[in-house]
Amino acid sequence: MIAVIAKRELVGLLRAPAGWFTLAAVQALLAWLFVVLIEDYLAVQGSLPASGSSVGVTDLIVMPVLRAGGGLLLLFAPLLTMHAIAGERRAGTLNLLLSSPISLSQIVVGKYLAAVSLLGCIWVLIGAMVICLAVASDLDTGRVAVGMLGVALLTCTGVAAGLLTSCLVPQPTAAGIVALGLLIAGWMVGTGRETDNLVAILALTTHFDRMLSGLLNSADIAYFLILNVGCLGFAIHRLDCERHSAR
Amino acid sequence: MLKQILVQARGLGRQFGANRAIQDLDLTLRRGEVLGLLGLNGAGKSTALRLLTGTLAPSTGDVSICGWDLAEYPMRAKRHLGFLPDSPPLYPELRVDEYLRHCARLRRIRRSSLPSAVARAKSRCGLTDCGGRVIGNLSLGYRQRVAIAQAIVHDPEVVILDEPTTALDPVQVREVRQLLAHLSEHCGVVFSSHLLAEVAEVCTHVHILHEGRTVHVAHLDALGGPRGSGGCLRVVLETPPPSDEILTLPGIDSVEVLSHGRIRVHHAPGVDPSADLVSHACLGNWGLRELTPERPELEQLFVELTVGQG
Repeated sequence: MIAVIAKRELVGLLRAPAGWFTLAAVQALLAWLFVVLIEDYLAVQGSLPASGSSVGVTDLIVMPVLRAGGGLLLLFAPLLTMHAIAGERRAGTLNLLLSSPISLSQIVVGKYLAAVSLLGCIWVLIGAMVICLAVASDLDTGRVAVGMLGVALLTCTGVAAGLLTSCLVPQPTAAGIVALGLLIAGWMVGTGRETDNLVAILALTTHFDRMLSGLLNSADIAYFLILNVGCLGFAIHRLDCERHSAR
Repeated sequence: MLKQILVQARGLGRQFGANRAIQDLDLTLRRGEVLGLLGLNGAGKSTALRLLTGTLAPSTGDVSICGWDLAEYPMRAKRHLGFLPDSPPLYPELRVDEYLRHCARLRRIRRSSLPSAVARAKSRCGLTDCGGRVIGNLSLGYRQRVAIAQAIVHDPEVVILDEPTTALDPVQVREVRQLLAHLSEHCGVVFSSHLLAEVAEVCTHVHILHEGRTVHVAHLDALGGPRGSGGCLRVVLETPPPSDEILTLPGIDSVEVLSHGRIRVHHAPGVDPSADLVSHACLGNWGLRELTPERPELEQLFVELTVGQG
């Protein structure tokens, strides 16, 4: 049943301009950044050994691309999820789902997987860009792999938060704006703070940046998993409450 | 022998803040029955139907579908349910076939049975030639047909329809009535409507709601029973006899002379004087042209129970 919901959601996303716009915009921005970073790297490449610096392609190209990719996917996720529940509710199709023999968790997880799959296309393209670099240079594969995992977890978190606001807010656009606000706050709040600060511990960037540095810490993985499961769980709970409270 | 109970609601209630939308609703639907839910706007019809389908949780009471408690076993109960809400639950970007396939999959129809289930639903709803059309491009009437088709695509035992003939033209309304009659041969149907004539024509039972409360429940054939009146027959005669002669027939309470040989014969509850009337008409050479049982006025009853109380 999760697959049925996910398939329908994916078809809906791909037949609406928002899905293609999101994919095209994120990929265009990343491609532009990728080219700029390669040009910058080529400009300083010759002077790096002389200065005794240990940084290379991984630091100067791959990690900035992954950081930008993670940030963009996080911010574009609400565009895909804002209609997921709020749109169904508005169109009256939520009644179709609620009267069918499927559980609320199957509905929410199905929609979550659909949005994650679509944004996963961008994740794959980011991976393809990085692999292109591996052809001509030596990459720190372990660090790149952890970084890619970080991008994936961050994207999933954006989708889960978007789904939650889509359950909480009746208007799809308002749901998208609220999700965007929450995610930007989660991204910005930890910037420039010490990592042992409570606010920094709760911030998305703290954990994401640690993964980009190549550190695979179970606490960071757990942080993202808790956020994802928490948002999805709350979304399911909210839908159930709606059956008890809705007009 | 009593037929199988498909839907049973006991003490169903739903409160929105201080507003009691539904109170103490008891409802039983058996196989082969068509139950019409009547009421003014805001009487609680749509809320009642949403409670019966599990899209809304009741504040009090319980519902069982084909013996499965809707709160305790929602998945099992909903398998037997087809629901058309008041606003058609359509995805405008999908084609009719895609949409019906999706709905059938939601109702756990096996992949191998999908083509036949979709074809059957389309055939029943007059959509055979529309399978490839995008729902968003269909007229309101055809969208409503698609919405009805999704409710029956899995051949449910209980079909619940909230004002199914909305937006349909007279021919389509007639087709929906035929469809409801056909569905009732092997399942139970609950539907709400503002059209009293439609309810009178299609339903076996009526359930009249007013301000969230049940004010009347009746088998349509015995609609007048609780008010103490019997039934009546409309008779058209070429040479009508004096009223006194008709009054001598057993079970006839009164005769109302209309115009052009038309008379209305009122008879006692539980008595059917049709056979006597026919035989006397033949013997007396009255020139019997028409003899039609008339149901007590549903509209009159509805107005008495709703507007009168308001």
